[in-house]
Amino acid sequence: MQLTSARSRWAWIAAGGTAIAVLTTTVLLGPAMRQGTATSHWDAPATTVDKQIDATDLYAFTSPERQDTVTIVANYIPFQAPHKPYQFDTGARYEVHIDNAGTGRAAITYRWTFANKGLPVPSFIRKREHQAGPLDKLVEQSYTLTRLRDGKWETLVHDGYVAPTDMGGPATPDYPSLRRKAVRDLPGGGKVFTGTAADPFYSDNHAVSLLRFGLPFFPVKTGVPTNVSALALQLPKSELALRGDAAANPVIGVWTTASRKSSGLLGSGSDAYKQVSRLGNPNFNEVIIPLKQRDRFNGLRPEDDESGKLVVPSTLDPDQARVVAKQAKVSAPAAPRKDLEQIYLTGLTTRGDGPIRRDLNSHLLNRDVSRVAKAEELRLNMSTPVPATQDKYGLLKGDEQGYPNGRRLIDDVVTINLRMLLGEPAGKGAPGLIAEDNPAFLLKPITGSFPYLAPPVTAAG
Amino acid sequence: MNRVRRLLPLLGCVLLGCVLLTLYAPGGVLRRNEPPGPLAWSPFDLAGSINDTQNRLRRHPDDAAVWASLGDLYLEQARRTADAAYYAKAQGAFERSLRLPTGDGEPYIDAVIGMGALANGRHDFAGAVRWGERARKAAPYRWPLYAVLTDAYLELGEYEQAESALRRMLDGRPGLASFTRAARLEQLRGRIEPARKLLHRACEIAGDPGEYAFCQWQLGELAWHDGDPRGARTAYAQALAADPEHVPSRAGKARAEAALGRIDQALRDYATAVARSPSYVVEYGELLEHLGDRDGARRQYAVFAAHSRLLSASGKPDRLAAGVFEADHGDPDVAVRHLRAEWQRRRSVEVADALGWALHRAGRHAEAAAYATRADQAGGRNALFAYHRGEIEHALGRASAACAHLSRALSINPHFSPGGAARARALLAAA
Repeated sequence: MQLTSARSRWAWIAAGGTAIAVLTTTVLLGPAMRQGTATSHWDAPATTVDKQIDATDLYAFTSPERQDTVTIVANYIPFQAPHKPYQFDTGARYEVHIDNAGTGRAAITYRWTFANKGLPVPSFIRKREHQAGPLDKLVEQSYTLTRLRDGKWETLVHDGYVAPTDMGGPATPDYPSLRRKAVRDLPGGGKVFTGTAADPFYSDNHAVSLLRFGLPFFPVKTGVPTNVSALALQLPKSELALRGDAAANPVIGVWTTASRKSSGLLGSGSDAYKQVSRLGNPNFNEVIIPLKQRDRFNGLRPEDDESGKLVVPSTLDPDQARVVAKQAKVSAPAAPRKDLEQIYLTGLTTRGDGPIRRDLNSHLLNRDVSRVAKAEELRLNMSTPVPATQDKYGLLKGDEQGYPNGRRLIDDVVTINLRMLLGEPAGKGAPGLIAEDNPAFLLKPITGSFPYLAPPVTAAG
Repeated sequence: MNRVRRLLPLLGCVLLGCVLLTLYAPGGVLRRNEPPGPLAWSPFDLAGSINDTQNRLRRHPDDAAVWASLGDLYLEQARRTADAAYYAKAQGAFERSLRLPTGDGEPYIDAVIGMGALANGRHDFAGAVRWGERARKAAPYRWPLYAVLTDAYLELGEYEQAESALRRMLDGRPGLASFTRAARLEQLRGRIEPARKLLHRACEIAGDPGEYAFCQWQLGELAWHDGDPRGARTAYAQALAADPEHVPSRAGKARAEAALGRIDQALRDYATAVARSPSYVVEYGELLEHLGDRDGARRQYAVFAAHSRLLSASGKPDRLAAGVFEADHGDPDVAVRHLRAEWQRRRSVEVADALGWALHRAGRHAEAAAYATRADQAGGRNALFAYHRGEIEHALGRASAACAHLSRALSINPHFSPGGAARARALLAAA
């Protein structure tokens, strides 16, 4: 465009002059020396975000199209930005545990360990990523999957392929084939998938702010379009059930842990693996366990829940129930909360003394079990039929295959936990608190076959 | 027609603005039931998290937990930008949290721990111990409190206490915060290889570029103190690649470049570093002085003096830094006064060395020797400590001990200081 009049030319010059003046001021003031702090001391980060060993979600459900199997998904490393690679900690053990006898002890443990393979990513992408983050993060990883059963370790997968994040054409060409490559058959009829996937977690805004009120960050609102690193197994029910008999002993308890290798100090002290993360029921640690003990819970094993003085008393009288009730202006049932004990620690059955009179997912329903230890586990009755239509509120809407009987990818667990904290399904509770026509939904649809998780989120969606 | 054509871009902009406003304004079409904040929001992004936390507090101003989170975020901001203004903000947030009711009727634990971390940042190490021990009593499984205690005890020179706090943390929560501190203790005990391993491990688990830069910087410091400027430069460069704003790494790189004879690059890096933080003006000045640029050096020293006055005026003097400066470039008697005061507050090896050196510069060599020996024996393999001890022995007329310490200093790190290393060589040559 041509400048046609002298007037407008002057206007341009004036505008340009102003812009230059502003720019100059900015440049001059920008790097102006700040009033620095005294730095003659060693200054390390006190609190860090330790996401590599942060178990975010655990799922366990009967596989809809292979109903003789159960799918278990443990997700780690939350909030992964699209197009960025994230790695498992090579100095950690990631485990999924199965308790099929109701003792709180793992009858079967599946353990992933990871190794760095090399730098497959083309150099120009490395260079670009170099600007943004740790260069060392751009390595391809492999994993070993072992199974501990009857006191014996057995290697199921050696040099397994970890699905990377979808970084687009040059770095990860033909992504669907990479994902297929990451699904592997296991001896005995199972499958495993390890790698990046879209985070299936979602929740209702209102439910989150009520349930998490007074809890430290970070409040996750509805779905977040980020990725997670998933450890997924699809296993024959017979492999998981007590005595291999899923018909007689259909109930299992599941939890996941991460343990990190520590370090001896000054040549002494222990450098063993320490359990740093534990997850069974969603929200249990953050909602039921008091803040001051939350780090401790992460180091505990379910077999110690009953005798320890933390898990059982916290469940029977959770502080958060009062906080939430006050915040929502409703009333919560009085302690002791035997209903919550059933939900989180023993499973539901009519054979105990709990107020929820329903035979659903207690180990007592197993033929070969006569006593069940109080232990926080995600309990699944593998014999519950898969319904034609699933309800995201699970048991609260009569869908017995949903949470808290295991947990499916579609279950709105935050709302369910909130409602259970306020007294359902033992009593009336506060069912209307969260509008059921709300728009909370999975951000990306799950797929029809293992691992069901949606492929990783990319910048395009 | 012409006028219309000229206005077209403007019209376009206005139109686009209107559309965006309709879509994204509060209550707009796309905002309904959407999480606040942009899609790129990540809880690991400091500025974004601060923004998010403030938003939440606008809606829930009596949430003790969120106020404590905000305090932590400000503290981390203070750490990264070296901007003391964030300390005041952090304090405000923590105090607000401490006043608010909690479930168990006691002050919110993370605010208690946060006050300890804040005290460390402000060099009130005794105060940090008080907050940390209070937190330990209330919540012995809250691991961040052990980071506060470890740091405070380290600065106070109470190394046994630091060790036991850190052991507890390594047992409960092995991670970046415990590994980096363990590396520091290993280094203080002269165990370089274990320290290096711990830092490599910390690099692997760093959660964001800032943390990664910190770990690489520590690796750089380790290599530098071990007399490996090449390795140090590589590590500092890695840190800067992850976080170009990491000033300590910029200064470290300058130091390493100078040792490798790349003076121009060194001067450029120093200029960048001191433009962001005055903490490095003295060593910059010392390099300039060593290169014969006395005016340039004087200018840097003047900046230090001005900054020092500023801190004193605001009631937060950094007596260690001031003492070290006065001993070499000012009045040694003033240095001794500063450092004696600091020694009353904390008895770390750094203060012991500085006090010993100041006493020596003030001509009180016999008194100096005790402090220098203490620093040299407890301070790991530190070339500067060894050099200071050598100089003091020399002043006391003990030639063979002086030679031993001076040559040890040069064997640990021949580049420990431009002037000091030259002087050590000269003394050894004359002996």
